[in-house]
Amino acid sequence: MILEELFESFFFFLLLAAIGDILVERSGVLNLGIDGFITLCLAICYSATIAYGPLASLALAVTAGVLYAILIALFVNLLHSSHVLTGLVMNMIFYGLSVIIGYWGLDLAMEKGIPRTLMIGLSLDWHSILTLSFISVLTAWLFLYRTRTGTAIRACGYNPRSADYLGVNVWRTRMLSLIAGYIVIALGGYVYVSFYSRAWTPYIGMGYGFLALALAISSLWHPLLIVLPTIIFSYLLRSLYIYQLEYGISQHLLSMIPYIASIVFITAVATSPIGKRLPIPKALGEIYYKEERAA
Amino acid sequence: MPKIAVIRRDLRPALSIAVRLGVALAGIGVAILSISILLGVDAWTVTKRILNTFLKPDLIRYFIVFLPVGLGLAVAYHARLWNLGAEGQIVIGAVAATYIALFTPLGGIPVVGPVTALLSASLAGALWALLPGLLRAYLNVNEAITTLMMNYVAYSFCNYLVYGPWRGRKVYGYPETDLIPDASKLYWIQGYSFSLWSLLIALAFIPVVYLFLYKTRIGTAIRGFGSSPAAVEISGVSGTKLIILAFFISGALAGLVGGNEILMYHRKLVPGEKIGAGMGFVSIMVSWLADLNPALMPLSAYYVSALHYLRMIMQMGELTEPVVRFFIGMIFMLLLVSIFISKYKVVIKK
Repeated sequence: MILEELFESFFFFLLLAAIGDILVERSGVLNLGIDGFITLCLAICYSATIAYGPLASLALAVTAGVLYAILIALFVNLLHSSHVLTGLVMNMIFYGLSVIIGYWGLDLAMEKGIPRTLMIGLSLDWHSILTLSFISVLTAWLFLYRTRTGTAIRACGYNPRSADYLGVNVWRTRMLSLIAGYIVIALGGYVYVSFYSRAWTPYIGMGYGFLALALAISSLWHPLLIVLPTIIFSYLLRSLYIYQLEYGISQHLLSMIPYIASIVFITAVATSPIGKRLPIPKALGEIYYKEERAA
Repeated sequence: MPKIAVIRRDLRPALSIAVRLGVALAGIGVAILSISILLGVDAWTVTKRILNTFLKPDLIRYFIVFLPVGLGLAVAYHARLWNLGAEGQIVIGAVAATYIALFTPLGGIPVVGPVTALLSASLAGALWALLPGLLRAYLNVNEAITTLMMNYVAYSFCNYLVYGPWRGRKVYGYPETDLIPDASKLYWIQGYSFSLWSLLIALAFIPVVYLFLYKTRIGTAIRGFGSSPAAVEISGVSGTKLIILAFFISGALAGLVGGNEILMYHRKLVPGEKIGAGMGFVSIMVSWLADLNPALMPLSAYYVSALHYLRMIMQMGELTEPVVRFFIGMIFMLLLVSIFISKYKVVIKK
């Protein structure tokens, strides 16, 4: 059944990560730190599930998301750091930390004498994933396009200076959007560990953050347009091994495809006439320096 | 209610350097703390090991990687072009050098072999960087994302070769090629793990990049392009050409390093993750630690190489590599704070 193939937990993980990224980048924060967070979040979810159970793990993942967002906000807003460098540094730190946390969970499983694969009775069928995806996409859209805060977020991403003139607090808005985005990304990470992989290996999840970033760009940072590219990408990623088995194409050549495809997607969107007309976050990656206002 | 405001300032160069030295010292503290807490080694042993590392000539093997890549990236970053693809450019350089050394007759000729291998490695890295450069110059595609993606493509391409068509006949199923011919190898100085030639080449790039950036018209235009592209265009230099040139130079240096990694260190092509080993990403911060200044780059590269080399010395099992990653990240976070201190100050308005 094709719907079962398309709407499974990996798709939902990628969708949540991409939506979270859209929420962040709509405020003009270039979100390269997402990759480090996804790696960290998977390790936290895995180890916390083993140590404290699934519910506590969810709570910890969300808390980690909020803290991560606040840390980025501190650097990007108060310290006026370059968004790119902040993201790269955060990645470096939390790639490292994720392995330490993950091994702690593996050791704990051994001590407790429970299997290393997570035993979670619950599983998501395609009905519930379809419903949940629908709800999350719609909520993100309503939040960004039908609330005052959402409008403020988009204004900060389009032109922070004008937004400030109109009474929007750019620093506060960017922090808010970071927190909202990282909560959604944390939920995505939880879905990945609890319903898709159910296991942890060092550096698992590395690279998916950048794919989510590319997905967000290819949908022009629009929460409704994100669905189609996510369906295509998640199907592509999961079916790669089938091509390897059936046609004997090298797995290494196949694993290039998602990255090449995202470069092509991004280029196509940047050059297409729609890309030029839709209001995308033009100030993406711009450090907002408040005291220049008076000049 | 008092309000906090952040205002710009220009710290005197001497003070600015002092702040960075402070970061470097604090970084060693961070390294000691994280190793002794996360790996459970007592702090005094760690301190001795770290101080020891700084005196070990073997760290030059990493210095030869970080210095040229950092110099090349500085050219791109002066123009505010986010080339984050040094990792991939290193890997592609390695692939090109292996091809020349192993699969063409040139590899068997002394001197000619290594020279052609290094030149083609450099060219391959430059071409690999050129693609995102062209996309940025002509279509205005965000170069930070495309260069990041190209890293993964380079990894996979290299892995395809070593797992597939290039896998050696004498390697017992390991994913690697056969050894390159002796004539192409760059030999180590007796007792150490680096070659004198590679070190000299790396050092030669310091004055070259410095003179290029500060004493030529094009270099000055590249530096100006970062703060004001419009002004550069008005002065009669094409912005498109500058973008392409900056990407070409940074890619060429990264590719050269990749080639050198094969001829000097690995002596065969290994999977991409092992060639790059994250050094391309660390080089980005090496470049910023030196404030993009070619004259300060050796200091910054030396410092980072010592900390990077630590993972070979500690040998505390599978956790060493992530712990090193962690504290190098923390040190760069301190660097971000130091950049803030030297550029801005916080005042409290009444």
